[in-house]
Amino acid sequence: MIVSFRLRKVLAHISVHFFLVLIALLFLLPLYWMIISAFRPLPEIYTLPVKWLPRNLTLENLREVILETSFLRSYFNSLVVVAAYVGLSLFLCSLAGYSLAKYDFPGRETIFLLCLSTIMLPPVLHIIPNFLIIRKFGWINTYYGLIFPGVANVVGLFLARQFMYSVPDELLDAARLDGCSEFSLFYKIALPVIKPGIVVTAIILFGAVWNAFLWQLIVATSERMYTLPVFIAALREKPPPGMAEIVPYNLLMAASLCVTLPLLTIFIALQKRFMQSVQLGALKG
Amino acid sequence: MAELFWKRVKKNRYGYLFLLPFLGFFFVFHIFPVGYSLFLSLHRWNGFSAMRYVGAAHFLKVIQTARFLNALKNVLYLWGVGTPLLVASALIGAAVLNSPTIRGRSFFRGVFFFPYVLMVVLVAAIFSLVLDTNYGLMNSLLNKIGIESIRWLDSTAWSKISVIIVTTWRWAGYWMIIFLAGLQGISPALYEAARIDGAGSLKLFWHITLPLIRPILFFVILMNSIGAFKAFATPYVLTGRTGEPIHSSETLVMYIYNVSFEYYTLGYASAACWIVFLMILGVSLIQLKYRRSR
Repeated sequence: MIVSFRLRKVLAHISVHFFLVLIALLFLLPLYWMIISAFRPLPEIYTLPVKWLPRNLTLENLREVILETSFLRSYFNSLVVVAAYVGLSLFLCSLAGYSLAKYDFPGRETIFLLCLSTIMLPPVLHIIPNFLIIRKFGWINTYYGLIFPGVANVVGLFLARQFMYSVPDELLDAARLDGCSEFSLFYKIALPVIKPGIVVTAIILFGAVWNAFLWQLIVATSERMYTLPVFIAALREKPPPGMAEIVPYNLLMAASLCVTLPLLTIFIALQKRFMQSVQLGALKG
Repeated sequence: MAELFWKRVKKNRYGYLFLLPFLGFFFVFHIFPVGYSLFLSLHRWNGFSAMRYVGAAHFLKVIQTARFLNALKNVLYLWGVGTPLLVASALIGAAVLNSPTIRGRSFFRGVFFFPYVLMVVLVAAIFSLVLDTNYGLMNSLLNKIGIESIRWLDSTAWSKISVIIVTTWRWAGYWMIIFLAGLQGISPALYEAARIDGAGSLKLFWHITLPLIRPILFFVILMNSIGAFKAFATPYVLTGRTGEPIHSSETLVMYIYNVSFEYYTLGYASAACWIVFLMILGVSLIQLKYRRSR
């Protein structure tokens, strides 16, 4: 009896691991497919039967996507937009969050609840009016149009406020007595104290703007102003010359590789810390 | 009394000052557009010519439009099938990886989580190749184990399922990590006590784990439900801007995007936005109410 019970336990132990490995493989296979397709000539991608190991590896796809499309320009645009957005939004959100957490002024609850309640609105509701506003400002196909409409990020505000509550009042009062200006209190004392919280907020803001496909699709209509998501979507719909119905997967995967590699490297290096940040952000929310 | 009020205002004047930059942007791009959108929904306008007041006509027209109702049906499908699948797989993954007897836990965590680092549009682009009927990895894999090819992206029966597969691949690990944060907060002593009383793994999960992480569970379900109503990038890139074939994977947001920026029927599209909003509100309220009643 006891033996069979132990045997069952061992079998269960092995089968759980077997399933985990199987699912892990299913998770990794699309990544593998992306990588090998980035180095395959297009005709090899479109060859039957499908080959799991590449025959002719080539750097031609990378060369073509980098030198003969607007890929690098789109990459640059995305980096500009992301950097400016995260910087500006982080400043606005943490300053407002500091105000909401550390000053007890009339109306602060009302203002906060008003901001929070807009989370329920579907983002698509803002798209049409914001498009008209941006058009009025002459910001179609500009960085302003890509950056400004989303910077007052409510999730960012909410997180920053939560983190700002953890700044001790005594610390602020002591600095105030030493003659520190109100803005320096925020900038030189509160911000450094909640640094981990700022990192969490920055990650969430980064994700929000890095993936803001719908808005970028509307603002960036000329190829020169494409951001990466818009570039990728446009490339997917652009058949190579003389080959209708064919998707240039070789270029698409080469571009994907160039975008994914830096992020994946950073993720693998900081895996533990990154996941902890995500958990912290979700639990505060 | 009034004097006290102004004293509080004056003492905290920097509070207002520090809120101002945020509120400025917030008003222009969040508050004002809400009113503007409602205004637009009551008018007929293509963005250029003169505007004409039409009252509630657009709202009535939206709920009678077959393509809108079809998009609604698609979204309800993504919600009804996709959300339970995603939440269940994330929860099971978290429960398994939280068990101390599993080896290589941090490796598996990393592998399940990494798709979250990939850009949403890229994930959809990669999967449009992986799920290609003739040249894709998925069908090649299925053929190897003796299953016939499935027309993942070019049949009305499978296009929505493909969207769900891609969404699950990208998000399951993320929500799993969130669940893990909740599971790590449960004291192991609870499990030990129950185990001494003779409870099996499934019983432990059902009677201890599930009740204790209920708040996180509701949060995750709510976020994913709203997510289904917001779905855009994945189906747009995976199955084309109109959700091929024959709109079988066109979501509400895709529909609104298409009618706004191809036909420029801005008033009609705004009315559709408000109907979507009312539905999200309904879904959220039902879930909140259910949560309270428990």
